[in-house]
Amino acid sequence: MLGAADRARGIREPVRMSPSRSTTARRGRLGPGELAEAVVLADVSLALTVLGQVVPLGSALLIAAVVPLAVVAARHRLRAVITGTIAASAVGFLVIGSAAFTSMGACAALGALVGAADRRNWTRRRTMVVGLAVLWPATAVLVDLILLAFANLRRLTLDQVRNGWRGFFHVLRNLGLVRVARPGEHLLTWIVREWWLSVPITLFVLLWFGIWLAIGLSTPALRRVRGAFGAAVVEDEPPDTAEASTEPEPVPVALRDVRYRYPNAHTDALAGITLEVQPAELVAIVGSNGSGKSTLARLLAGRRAPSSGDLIRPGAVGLGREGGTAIVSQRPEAQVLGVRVRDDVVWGMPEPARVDVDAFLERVGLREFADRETSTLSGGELQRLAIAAALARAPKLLISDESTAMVDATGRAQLVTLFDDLAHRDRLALVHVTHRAAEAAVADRTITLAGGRIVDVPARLRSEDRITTSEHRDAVHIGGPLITLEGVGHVYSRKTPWSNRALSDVDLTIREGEAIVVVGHNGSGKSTLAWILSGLLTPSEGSARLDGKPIFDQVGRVGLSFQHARLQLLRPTVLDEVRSAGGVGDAEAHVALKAVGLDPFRFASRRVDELSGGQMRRVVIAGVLASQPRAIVLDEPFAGLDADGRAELDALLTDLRRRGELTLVIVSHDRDLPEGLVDRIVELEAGRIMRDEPLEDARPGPHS
Amino acid sequence: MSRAETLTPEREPKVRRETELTFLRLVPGTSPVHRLWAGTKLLIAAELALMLSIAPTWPMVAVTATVVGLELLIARIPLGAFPRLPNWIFVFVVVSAALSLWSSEKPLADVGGITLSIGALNQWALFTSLAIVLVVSGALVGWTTPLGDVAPALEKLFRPLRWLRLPVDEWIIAIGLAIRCLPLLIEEIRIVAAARKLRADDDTPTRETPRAVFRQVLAETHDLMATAIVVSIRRARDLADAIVARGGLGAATSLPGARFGVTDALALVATTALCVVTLAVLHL
Repeated sequence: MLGAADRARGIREPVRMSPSRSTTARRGRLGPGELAEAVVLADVSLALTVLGQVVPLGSALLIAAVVPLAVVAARHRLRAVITGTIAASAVGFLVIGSAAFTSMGACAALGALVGAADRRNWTRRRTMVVGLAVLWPATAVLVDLILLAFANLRRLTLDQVRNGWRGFFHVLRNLGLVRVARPGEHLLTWIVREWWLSVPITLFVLLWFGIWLAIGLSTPALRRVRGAFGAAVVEDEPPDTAEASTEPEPVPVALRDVRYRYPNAHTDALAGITLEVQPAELVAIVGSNGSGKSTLARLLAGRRAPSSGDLIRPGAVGLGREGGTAIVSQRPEAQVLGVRVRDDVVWGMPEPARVDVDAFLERVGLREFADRETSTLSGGELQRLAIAAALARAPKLLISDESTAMVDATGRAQLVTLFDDLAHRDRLALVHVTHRAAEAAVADRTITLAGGRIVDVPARLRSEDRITTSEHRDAVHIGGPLITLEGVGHVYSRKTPWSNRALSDVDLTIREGEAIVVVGHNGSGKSTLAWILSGLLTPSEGSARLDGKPIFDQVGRVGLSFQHARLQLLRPTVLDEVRSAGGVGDAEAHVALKAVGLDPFRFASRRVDELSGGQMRRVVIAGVLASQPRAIVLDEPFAGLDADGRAELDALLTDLRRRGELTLVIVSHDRDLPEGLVDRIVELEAGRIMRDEPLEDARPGPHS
Repeated sequence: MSRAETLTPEREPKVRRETELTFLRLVPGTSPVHRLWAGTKLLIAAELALMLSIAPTWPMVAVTATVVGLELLIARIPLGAFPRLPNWIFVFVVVSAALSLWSSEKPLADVGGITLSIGALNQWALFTSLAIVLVVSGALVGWTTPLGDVAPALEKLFRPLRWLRLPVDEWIIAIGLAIRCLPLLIEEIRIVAAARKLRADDDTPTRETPRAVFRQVLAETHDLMATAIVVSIRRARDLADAIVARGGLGAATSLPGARFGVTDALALVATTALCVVTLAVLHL
C-alpha cells in the first residue's frame, strides 16, 4: 500500500527501455500471448486434421497439420505446445472421437521436434537422427503396450489388415502374378504373427517419412512467419509487482510532455503530449490513421510506458481489474472470449458467481441476449457486450480505442449515446478515440492529434463520413446486361436441423459498366450474394449467369475482394502476389500496381506483411484488376478506413471506372458510401431485395 | 470443400449432394439427453469407447449401439443431423469389403463356383460397425450440448489431476478459447481456399515436367500454409490483447451452470452396469 505522501505525489511510470524477453526463456504459467498463439495454432492444426479425415488425399493435410504446431514450438516453450495440443484434442474428441488424441499427439510430437530444430538451426540430417532417436523408441514402446493391453482390439484390427491384403493377393494370383503374391503372403503372415516387432518397424518407416515431410513443409512456413513477426514472440512485460499490489486508481491521469517511440522505430509515435483526464469527463481523441491516437490509448491503458516525460496517476492502472481501467477496441469479434454472452461478461473475473450479469447486459441494452452464443451477434452488439464486460469490473476509466470504426451507423449512434451516459451519469472518466470528428459532439473536450502531436484545431465538425468529389464521371458507358440472377435463393446446410435460408427469390441484373451497392445488416444475405456473384457458391435455387453462362463454371471471371484483405494475399511479396492473382507477368503487374496508386518501384519487392491495411486492400484490387475480370465485387471496402483512406479509395475506384468499362458491385453494411460512387442501390433484408433503385447522382453522369 | 465439381458447362444447378460436416453444432431441442450434465455425456462416450476397446465383439457392439441408439431417440436427433460424407468414403468401404470376401478366413461359402470368405466379411462388418458406434457416440455429445458447457464440465472432470500438480486451470482456459476460436478459424481457412480458387490457375505454362509440376504444387502449399498461419498469429495477438484487457487469464472459473443431478447419476450407473454385466457374461 501507498502512504499518504506517496498518494499525494502520485505514482510515476518508470521510464523503461522495454526490456522484453523472448518467451522461449520463460518459466511458470503461460502468459496471454503464449496461450493465445498456442490455442489458435493448435486449432488450425485440428481443423486441418478434421479435413484430413474427410477429404480425398487427406493424408497430405494430416502432415500439413504439423506445421502450425511446429510454429508454436519454434516461438514458444514446450509447455505452450502441450497446452495447445490438449485443448485441440479435447475439442477434436467431440468432432472425430478418440482419433483426435492420436492424430493431435502425433502432430505435437513432430511439431515440437521440427520447431526445436528450427530454433537451434539444426541440419535436416541432425533433426532426422535426433527425432528418430527420441520419438521412435518412445512411440514404439507406447504402441506395443497399448496393443498388449487391448488384445482383442489388436486381434480384430490385425485380422482386418490380413483379410484385406489376402483378398488383394488373391486377386493378384488370379491375374497370374503368383510371383508377387506368394512372397507377399509370407510377409503378411509374419507381420501379423510378430506384430510386436512389425508394428514398431512400420512406425519407424512412418516416422522417417513423417519427419522428412514435416521438415520440408514447415521450414518455408517458419521462414515466412519469422519474416512477418521476428524470431520469437516478445510480450509486453507482465505488470510489475508494484502495479499488481497497488490499489487501482487510474484517474485523474496527467501526461506532461510525454514522448513515445516504438522499439526499432526511427521516428516518435507521440511527442510533446500534455493532457489531463478527470473523472466524469468524456474526452474525445480525434485523428486520422497514423496520427498516434491508438498509441496514446495504449499509454493511458498502461500497456506501454512513455519513452520520456511523466505520466502521473494516483494509483495503479489496474487494466481489467475491479475499479481500474477498461478498454474496448476496434475489432468487435476479436475481443470476445466467451462462447455464450453470459460467460463473456465475466470471463477472467475471480468470482463470476457474484456478478449480476443481467444488470450489466440491461445497461447496454442486451438483456435478452444473455444465453445466445456470441458468434450470433452483430458488430455493434458485440461492442456493447464488450462494454458490459468492462462495466462488470466497475472501471474508473473506460477507453474506447476506435470502438466505433467497424460498426454501422445505427450501432455507432447507440455506442456514442452510451458513452455520453456513462461519463455524465455514472461519472466514469471516458476516453473515446475515433477518426470521425462528428462523434466528438457529445464530448466535453476534444483533443486533435496529427503526426503524433496535439494540434490546435477546434473540432471541425465537417461531415467526414460523406465525401463529395467534384469530379465528372462523363466517360462511364453503361452497356447491356452482364450478370443476371433469376429467382436465386440459397439455403445453407439443407436438410439438416441447422438448415438456414440466406437468400430467397433474388432477381438482379447488373449491366456492363454499372456500379451498384448492396446494403444490408449482418445476416441479410449480402455476403452469400457476393459469393454467388463471384461463382464461389452455387445457389441452391434459381440461376446466376455471367454472359449467359452459369457463373460457377467461370470462377475467376468475376473478381472478389474480401473484407479481410490479408486472407487474400497468398504470396510473400507484392509483385509475386499481383502476378499470381492476375495470372500475368511483371509488366502487367506493374501496370496494375500503378492503377491502384502504388508505385511499382517502391512496392514491388515489399513483403505483404509490412503493408498497412489500406495498402493490403489496394494490392488485392491490383491483383483482381490484373486478371481482367468482367466485374469486380468488393466486400466492405471502406470498413475501418479513416476519412483520408476513404477519399483515396473512392478516388481510385472512380478513376478506374472512368478509364475502363469496369463493372462494380460494392457490398456494405454501411450506407455512408462516398456520394456519387455508385449508380444504383440494392437493399437486402432477411435474404430478400427490399429496394432496387438508381441513386440520384451527385456527380453529373452521362444520363442525368 | 463443399462445392461439388461441375464439369459440363451448360448444366443448371441441380439439387446436388454436398459434403457437409455437421459436428459441433447443437441440435435444437430440450430432451432429457440435452439436459444431462455435459460431463455425464462425455463420461458415457468415454466408457463406451473403453468397453469396445476391451471387447470388440458383436454382443458388445450391440449393447453400445443400443445405448447410443437410445440416446439418439430420446434426444430426437433427426437423420439430417448426420454428416454427409463424400462418396469416396463409401467407395473405399465397399472396396475393402470386396477384398475381404476374397480372403481365406473361415467359414467359406461357395457361390457359383467362387469361394467367398464369410468369416472375413463378418470381421469387416464388425470393425466397420464398431467405428461407426465410436464416432456417433462422440458426435452425440456435440449435438446435445451447448459448446459453452463443455469447458466447465471438463474443469470438474479434470479436478483429480490437480492433485498431480498438473496445470489444469491453464488447460481449461485453453479448451474454452479453442472452442470459441474454432469457428472463426474455419471461416478464415474457407476464405483462404476461396481466394485460391478465384485465381487464374497459375502463372506457368502447362507443358512442364512432372517434377516441375510437383514443385509448383509444393510451393503453392507452402504459400497457403504460410498465409493461414500468419493470419492466425494475428488473430492470436488480438486474442491476447483481449485477455490482457480483461486483467489476464485469471482462474478457470465460470458461471454456475448445469450440475450433476439425479438423472446424471442414473444414466451413468445404468450405462456402467450394462457394460460391466455384458463384459462379465461374455468374457469371464
